[in-house]
Amino acid sequence: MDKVLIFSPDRCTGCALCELICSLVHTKTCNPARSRIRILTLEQKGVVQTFCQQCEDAACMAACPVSAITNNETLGTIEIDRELCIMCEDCIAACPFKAIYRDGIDEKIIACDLCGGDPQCVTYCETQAVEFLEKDSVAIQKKKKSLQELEGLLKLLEAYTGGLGS
Amino acid sequence: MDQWFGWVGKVLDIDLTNRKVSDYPLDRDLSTDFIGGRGINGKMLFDLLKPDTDPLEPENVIIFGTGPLGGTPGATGRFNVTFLSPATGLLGDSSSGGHWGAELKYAGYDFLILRGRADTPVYIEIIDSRVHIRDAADIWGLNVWETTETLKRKIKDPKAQVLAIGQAGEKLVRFAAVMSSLTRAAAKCGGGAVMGSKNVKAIVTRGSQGVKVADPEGLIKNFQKLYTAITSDFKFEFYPRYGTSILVEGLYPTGLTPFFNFRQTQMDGTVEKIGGKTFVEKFVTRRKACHGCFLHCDHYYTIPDGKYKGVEGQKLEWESITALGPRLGNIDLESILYMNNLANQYGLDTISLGGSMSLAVDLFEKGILTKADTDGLELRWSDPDLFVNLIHKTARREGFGDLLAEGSYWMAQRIGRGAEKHVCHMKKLEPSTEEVRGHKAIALAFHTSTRGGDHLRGQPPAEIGGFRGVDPKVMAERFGSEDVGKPAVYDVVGKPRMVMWYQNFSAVVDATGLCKFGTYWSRFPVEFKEFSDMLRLTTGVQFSPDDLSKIGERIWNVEKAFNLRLGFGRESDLPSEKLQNETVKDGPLEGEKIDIDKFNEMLDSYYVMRGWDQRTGRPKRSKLEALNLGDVADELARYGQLVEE
Repeated sequence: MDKVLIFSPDRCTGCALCELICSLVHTKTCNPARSRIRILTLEQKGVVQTFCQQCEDAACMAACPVSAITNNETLGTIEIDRELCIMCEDCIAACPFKAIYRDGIDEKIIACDLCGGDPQCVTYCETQAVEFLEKDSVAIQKKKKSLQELEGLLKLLEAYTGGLGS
Repeated sequence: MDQWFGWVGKVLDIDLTNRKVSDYPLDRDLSTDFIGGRGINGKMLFDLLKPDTDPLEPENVIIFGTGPLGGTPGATGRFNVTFLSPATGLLGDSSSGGHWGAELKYAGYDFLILRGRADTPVYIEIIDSRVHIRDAADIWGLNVWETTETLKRKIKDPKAQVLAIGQAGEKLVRFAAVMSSLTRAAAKCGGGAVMGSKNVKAIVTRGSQGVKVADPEGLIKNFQKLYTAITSDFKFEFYPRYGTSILVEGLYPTGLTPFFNFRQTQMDGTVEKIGGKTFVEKFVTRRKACHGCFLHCDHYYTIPDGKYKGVEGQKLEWESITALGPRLGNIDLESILYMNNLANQYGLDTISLGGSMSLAVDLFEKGILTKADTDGLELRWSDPDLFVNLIHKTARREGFGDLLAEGSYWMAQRIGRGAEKHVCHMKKLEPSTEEVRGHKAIALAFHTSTRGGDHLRGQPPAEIGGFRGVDPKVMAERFGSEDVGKPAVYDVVGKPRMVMWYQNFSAVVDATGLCKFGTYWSRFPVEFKEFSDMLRLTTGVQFSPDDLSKIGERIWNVEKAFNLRLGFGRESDLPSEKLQNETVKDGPLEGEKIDIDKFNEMLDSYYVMRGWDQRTGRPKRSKLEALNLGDVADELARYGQLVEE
């Protein structure tokens, strides 16, 4: 897989349709709290959008005490083995992008799986705030920029409310 | 069938007087007869309220209702707020977008009923079915934006959704709005004052329970179809780019924009100075949307220079532009943006606010109001600084503002001296800021609207030409007369039928949780058939297009009955003196007014088509029983408002 998921905060309207679609695809219910992509609008200050960056050298993987998180090299995604997972949430604490979550209904840890190569959030993002692009130098540059912005917004959020909340 | 899809299946009912919180299952029959939102709200209010209630006393009830499609893709999560209106003394009902409604469902409830009155200011916290009534002493007195920020910080969850009133609601301004998501307003009819009278400052919702749907795969497929149909339509680009601000360009040439308290419709420079293109090019910084909505008609704006340099806001609607602009002879967009912020912060309906101020200037010009009434202020048109001052006074009910806070109808009553001759109102409500005298179907729709003069209850856009475009053939086939597309004609065949169709249609949209902007109301190919598909896939319940049309009619009849029970019959459907006696002074509608005899003929025809008595507008028992509203018929009979045939 040679494509990457990229977010452009300045294009996001905060509608959260990506959350609804993601949860509908993965859980058959409409529930932003079970989505693998999450939107939080800080109004004029910007939009925080978090989803798994599929890091090659992933902090979640390093933090997992039971090695339940692995790389799926074919799909270019990280995978969480539910059998091995002990729900300690160390991965959630370790992720610098706040992009790995606990699904409180299925009681499992979840992260973006790129819908197996055709991310549905991208299909319905009318403003193309989420894009799935060929991994060329332009895309890599764009992704780097969006992650820098995300870092700033996460800091802002920390000061604002003491964290992402539930 | 135990499980609910679409609907959460639960009603939260809070008695503020005793601080008693209860919840119970949603009545299945209500959900199939009225769908949800405005539909169920209206029936609940009809059943709960005694006709001799004072709108601002604890006996009034305020209901917040979502629809079964709320919280599903594309449905926007709109909700309705329904109560006895302090603005009109009639049905009060108002709808709002944003994110709060969907979050109420995620928190575990379709409906929230508030009764009684808390003895001290409170706010209500609804987080995943845990409900708390909390002390609001430290936020009472704050504006809507401050309240929202304070509560989000307090519960340390930035994703919580806050619905609140501003100072206007606390001060019982008759047109105080129920605000949510900072700038979304359930504005009309004074719901904010009802909340204020109950000492409820805010309602916070947050949940992780989601909405279950009957056929997830089918729903996604169907959504894909709708998404493609709407986004590929040529009209689509107006919404994302401009929102309703582009209606300045669209409606100005048709003469629908009223200036100087409905005196004229033209003013040089209007389109260039306050049009959607100017708004977007000069002020818009980013786009914004309601929950799950890909039309994203909303915007963030910043004023880059001048007197209000650096002021940031969001959500500018055509109605607000016109009410705070042309209606006051003001075509200074920066001041309109600033006043829009003030209205959102204080929690005021912009339409009624513009209405009060424009009546005041009009009366001052006529010598009916003098400096002795206005705290020494010289009232004049086209003076933004004056209007800013008046908004502060109105929201706080200070001095002359106490009079403005009554809304134009009650203001005129208090002033006397012939002031009422200059008020434009329908059922005492300030109408949406549209010149209705030249478009006879729109006039009929505004006057028969169950909540008072308004475009969202069934204004037929098909009567307006301009960039929306109307195909006379389609209209003729649908409504039985080619005259429906000719604004000036008092057509008794097609126009009443068209108005009725749009009224029923709007009622259904408001009941499902959808937004009219994504439907045929805005001329997108989304009608009863598409609603039927969405409802089936979401709820598992089969509502045929015919069922839906009947449900729209049922909702309308309950609302009509609510007003009839209060004694408001045919008289309340007639135009005010101003609209009958004064003509439009210029533009394409020059010379137009409402001819009362011809209007009455259209009204007769409308009543007959509705199955109501031609003379009184009272429903016939047979009609109500055919709509499965036998209980409503019995109630009306007790008040002498039913025709037994």
